[in-house]
Amino acid sequence: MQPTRCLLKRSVWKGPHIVPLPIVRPEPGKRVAPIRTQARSATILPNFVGLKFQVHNGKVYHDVTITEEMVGHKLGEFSPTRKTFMWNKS
Amino acid sequence: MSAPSCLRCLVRPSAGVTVSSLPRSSPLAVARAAPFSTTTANLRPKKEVQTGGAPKGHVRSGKMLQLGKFKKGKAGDRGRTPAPGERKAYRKRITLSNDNAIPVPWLTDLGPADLANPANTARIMALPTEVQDQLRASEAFKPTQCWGMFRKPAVLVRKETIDMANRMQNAADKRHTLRLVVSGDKLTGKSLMVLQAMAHAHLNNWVVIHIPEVQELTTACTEYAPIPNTDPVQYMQPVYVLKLLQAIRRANEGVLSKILTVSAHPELSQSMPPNTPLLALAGAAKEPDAAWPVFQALWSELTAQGANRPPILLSADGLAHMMKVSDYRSPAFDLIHSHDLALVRLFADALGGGLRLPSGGAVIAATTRSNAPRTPSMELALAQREAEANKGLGGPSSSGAVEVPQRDPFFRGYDDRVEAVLRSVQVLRVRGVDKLEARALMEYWAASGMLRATVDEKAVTEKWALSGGGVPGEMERAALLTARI
Amino acid sequence: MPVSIFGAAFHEQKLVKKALESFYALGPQTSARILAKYCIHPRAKIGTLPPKTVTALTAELSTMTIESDAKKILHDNIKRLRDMGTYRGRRHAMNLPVRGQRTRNQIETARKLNKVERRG
Repeated sequence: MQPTRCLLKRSVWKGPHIVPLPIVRPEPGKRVAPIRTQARSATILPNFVGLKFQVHNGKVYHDVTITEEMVGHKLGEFSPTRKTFMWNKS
Repeated sequence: MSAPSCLRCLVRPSAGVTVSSLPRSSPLAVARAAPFSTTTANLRPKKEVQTGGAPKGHVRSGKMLQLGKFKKGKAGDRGRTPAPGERKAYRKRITLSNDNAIPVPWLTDLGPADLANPANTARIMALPTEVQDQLRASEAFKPTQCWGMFRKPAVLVRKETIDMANRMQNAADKRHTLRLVVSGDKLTGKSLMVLQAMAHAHLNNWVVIHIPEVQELTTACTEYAPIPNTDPVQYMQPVYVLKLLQAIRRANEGVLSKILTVSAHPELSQSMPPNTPLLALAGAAKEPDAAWPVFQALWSELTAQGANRPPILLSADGLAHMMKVSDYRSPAFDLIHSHDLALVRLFADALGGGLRLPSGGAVIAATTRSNAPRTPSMELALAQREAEANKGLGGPSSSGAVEVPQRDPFFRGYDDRVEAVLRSVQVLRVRGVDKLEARALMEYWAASGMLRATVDEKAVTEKWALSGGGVPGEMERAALLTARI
Repeated sequence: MPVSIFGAAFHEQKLVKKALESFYALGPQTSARILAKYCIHPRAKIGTLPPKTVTALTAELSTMTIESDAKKILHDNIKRLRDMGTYRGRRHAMNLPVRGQRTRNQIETARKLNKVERRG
């Protein structure tokens, strides 16, 4: 994963990369299932704040709760794709 | 071809028998002369074992890892390091006499009218001692000129010199201002023309203000400060002006002490009643902060209307630096044009004719070819003035087809302020000397013992041709500097 | 005798421009602008400055974000990435290259510099 390259390839005039996601506004008192997605390159928009996503990393889905300061980053940045290499486990 | 080294393999250093103790006649000894060996340590004669005396320090003392083959030991005495500024002073030193040179008996000192007298063309004449001191005070001599080779400084009076001195004299008589740019190729003696103009002025009791290197003013290496209440803002250079004031004071001591001020200068911190000598006024600046007001006061006194003032010579070397955008920055971070620096502006105004010298005088600027920024406007303007002058004369080729060069319409880098200044100047183009003058030069060199050759027609022609048609600097290189170590 | 600008002592012979550039987050561009603002020529030495200019320079520097302020901004930015749990923050914390460089060899610079409390 190369976060900066993702950021750099979009010019300002293109705007954020908006991916249609099945976002459901949670009604108070009801629990909504997290949004399961593989769109790692989707830009986090201000209206995502507070939602739960499950972002695919190629193998499993990681839970990500969107907070205020994550706006502007991509979903993929919060779901690591690599495993740390260890000798005793290989 | 590996036989010798293979033979060597048979030799085993053992405790009792060293290789060197083997009989010389054996084939193995021949092998010892092999060109390459990996066992030199064994072949090296063993060091004498120290017997007796206590061992010095530890066994391994002195065994230090030395990285780098040519590492300098700290023990080496490098002598005294030069003090700050000492090397620069050595580089810039001016030697004006050489005791080993032969004195030239027929050398005569310059008189007040000698430089303007056409009879003196192609003669070498010495600078009188007081003029030497004056020129030295205003830094007219340069280290690159060969003053240090002769018994006393002397100059060649050229046709151009006579022409220039006559123009100066004419301007002083008629109370005009001669505005002259000395231009020419490399090493043709432009700076020396300025020096001769200064010598002429000093001999005739003019006031001489000389800027030895204009680049010191415009390459942002001296202090500057905005002058309050000027629009557009001008900048003074207090440290340089203080230095200039001291140079003016030392160079024009005799003249300035005879001139009295006509007005009091209330803006100065030191009170200056009328009828004090100008020398005292010039010496009133002790601090850089006071330098610019004092200089202005001195200038206004020198150019006072109605008073009986001597003619003034304003001279500068390195005109191109004056005709560019300087390296200074204004507080708004814009580059400052050189003509917004107050001292440069004064000179440029005088050169452009905006500033009249009431008692007459001359403004003489020399271009340089060695260390000069590119100034297209100045080059164009000088070429135009020269072409116009040739046209006025009818042209040397008498074909009448002297074209006045025009601006390149596809080039943007022209500077209107520069062209305005150079619109009406006269241009004196300095070229190589002719054979007669070359002969005079070489005879002088030979008489001083610096040229070990007979000066005859052949030698003169040879050196004249070698120097690209008598360019004096090249002649020096061809004839004078060959034996220099 | 040393001259003090913004709490740091400089030798008289030091260039003013270099002295200004010795502060963190103050580079050639900014120092050139400060010099122009106070009409100091680029080759001026500290010793030639009048005391008035020295105090003015100190006052000017105290209004700018340099030294510890600038360092704090840098640390805050890296710490924010780390706290969010982004990949870049993780790489900073692990002293590894952040921008997708290979890590098989030649990562001395990253090991030296990439830290949450980065030093420069």
